[in-house]
Amino acid sequence: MGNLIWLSLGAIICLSSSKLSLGNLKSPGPGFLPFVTGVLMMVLAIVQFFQSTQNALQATKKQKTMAGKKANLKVFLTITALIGYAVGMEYLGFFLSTLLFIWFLLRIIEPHGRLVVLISSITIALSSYIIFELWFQLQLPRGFILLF
Amino acid sequence: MSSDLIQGFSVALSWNNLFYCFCGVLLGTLIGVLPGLGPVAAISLLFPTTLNIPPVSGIIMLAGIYYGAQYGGSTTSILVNIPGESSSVVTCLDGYQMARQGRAGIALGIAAMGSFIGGTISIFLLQLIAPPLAKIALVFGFPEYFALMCLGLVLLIFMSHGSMVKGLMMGVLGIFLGTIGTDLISGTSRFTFGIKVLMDGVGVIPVIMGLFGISEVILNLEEGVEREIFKTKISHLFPTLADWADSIGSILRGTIIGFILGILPGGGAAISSFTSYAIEKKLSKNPERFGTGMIQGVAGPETANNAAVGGAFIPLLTLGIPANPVMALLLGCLLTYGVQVGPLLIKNHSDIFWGVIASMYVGNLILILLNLPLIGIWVKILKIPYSFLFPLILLFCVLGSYSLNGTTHEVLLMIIFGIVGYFMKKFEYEPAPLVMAMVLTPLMENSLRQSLLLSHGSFSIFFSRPLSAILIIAAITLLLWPIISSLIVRKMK
Repeated sequence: MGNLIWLSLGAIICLSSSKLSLGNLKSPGPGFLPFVTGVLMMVLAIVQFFQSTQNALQATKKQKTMAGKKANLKVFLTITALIGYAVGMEYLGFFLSTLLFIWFLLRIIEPHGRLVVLISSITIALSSYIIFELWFQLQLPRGFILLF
Repeated sequence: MSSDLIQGFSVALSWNNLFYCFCGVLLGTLIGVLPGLGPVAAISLLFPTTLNIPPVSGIIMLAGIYYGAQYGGSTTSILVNIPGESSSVVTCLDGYQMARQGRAGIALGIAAMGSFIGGTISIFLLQLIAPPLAKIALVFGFPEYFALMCLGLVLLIFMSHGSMVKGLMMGVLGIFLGTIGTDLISGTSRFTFGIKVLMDGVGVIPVIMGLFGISEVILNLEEGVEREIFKTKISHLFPTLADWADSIGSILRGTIIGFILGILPGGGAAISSFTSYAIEKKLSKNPERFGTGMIQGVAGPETANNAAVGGAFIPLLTLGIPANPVMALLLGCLLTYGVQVGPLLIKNHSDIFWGVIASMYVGNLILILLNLPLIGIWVKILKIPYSFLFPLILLFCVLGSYSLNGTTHEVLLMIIFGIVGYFMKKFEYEPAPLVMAMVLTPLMENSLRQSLLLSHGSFSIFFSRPLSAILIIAAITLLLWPIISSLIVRKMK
């Protein structure tokens, strides 16, 4: 499966690079190097495919990398929270989105008591706002509230 | 040279730079102590805060984080049996055993002293070697530069863990990522899909933060991080004469090993510490006692990982070629400051070169004075559960990447590479070759295309010039080494 992804990626890169000018060896064009990387990627995917079929141990190794359902859910939720935070920051502003983000991580991903979570979320959001916006003078998003 | 160094000290000892150096080494030690947050993530995070200060102050602070982290990493290895940094993994073996035997203070003390000695000697060697090397590098043409970067990349892949094919794949993917953006020669947009933020190429900092910071947090959440601090009274931080006699040889050997391996692409602090440990074990009269609390097993590796820092700065400051991901990040930072890195850096920006060198002397001194008295505080910080720490790491990473351009594009890019890095770690792909290839590609591609233009399309240009021929042949030999070595083994059988 992994080798198939590499092979497809290599093929896509080759196709896309050929649409750019490849040039020639005397004067290589902008598509020249990406085209070479695409070809190399495909060659390496084939080499790895033969290597992995020769190595029977590979299958048992891969089985070990599969995590439990609960752990997978944790990973999924953390990534979703990160994306939500990145997107929501523009609309909700830095302070509110950070507060919600930290609350979610401390309450849902690694659950702590309600009061601890509330105090921690407010403290972290407020102190990071003070440090980064007021002290380091970074332009953090204000959102529709236009305050923080 | 002495007048240059005096100029460097006048830069490093100004109140401003002294403050930034202090902040850098203090933060470096802190992130070194905390497992799960490395110098790459910390430098990426703090880089935007240095955009409003002079470049020399910024780079002094960021370099301080790097060498400070090497100091801090040993504390967790010795007291918790969890390495704060990859370069301190091997310190766990004997350091933790020393702590269990009531010799935690001595272990921490010799680690700090060794780090100071190794760090200081390596800075001296850096100051000695870099200027003449930069002069030699001035005669490098496009073919030599291309060959040198090829060798550096192959060397990095060769020295990375696990399958060489996987390392090569990462290198190739890194080269592809490095080609994204506007082609400097023709002005054509490559693989930008109309996204404005990609016009200048894929940002190194979000990629590094994703691959090293975000992915690490996700993996830790999945696997669960538990740490138990060994309860012991930390006393007698100063090693006795007998301890010094046992470890001085290891410290000196660690210095040389660390410095040399630090220069090599892919060498860095981690490989230096492992190599030093292996050599100490080999040279010992009692190799079977290694792993039971031998002071040489702490002194050698801890010296080597600090000595590697000085070595790693040589290719960056003289050739503009980073030796490891941290140096790649520093290269990115210097370029953002508008500082052209390469052989002319010492001449054109002598304040930066000599200021950084002088600040490293100062920083090492601050670290030795700071670290031992603050060990109690570091231990207390270690008691912060990971479940409270990871939201902070994620928040810092998001803030760090957001503040680069003030847009969420960079944050999303970082998250994408965080997911990629998570799967890469799961399927045993090393991120270092990807990062290095990505950073080197613009320069490498330019050198390749200019060389081919010069030779009218003939690759013989790389073999007709002695230096580039040596470098290219060395790269090809390394690349083919697994095949060559298996043929040799077959013949011998």
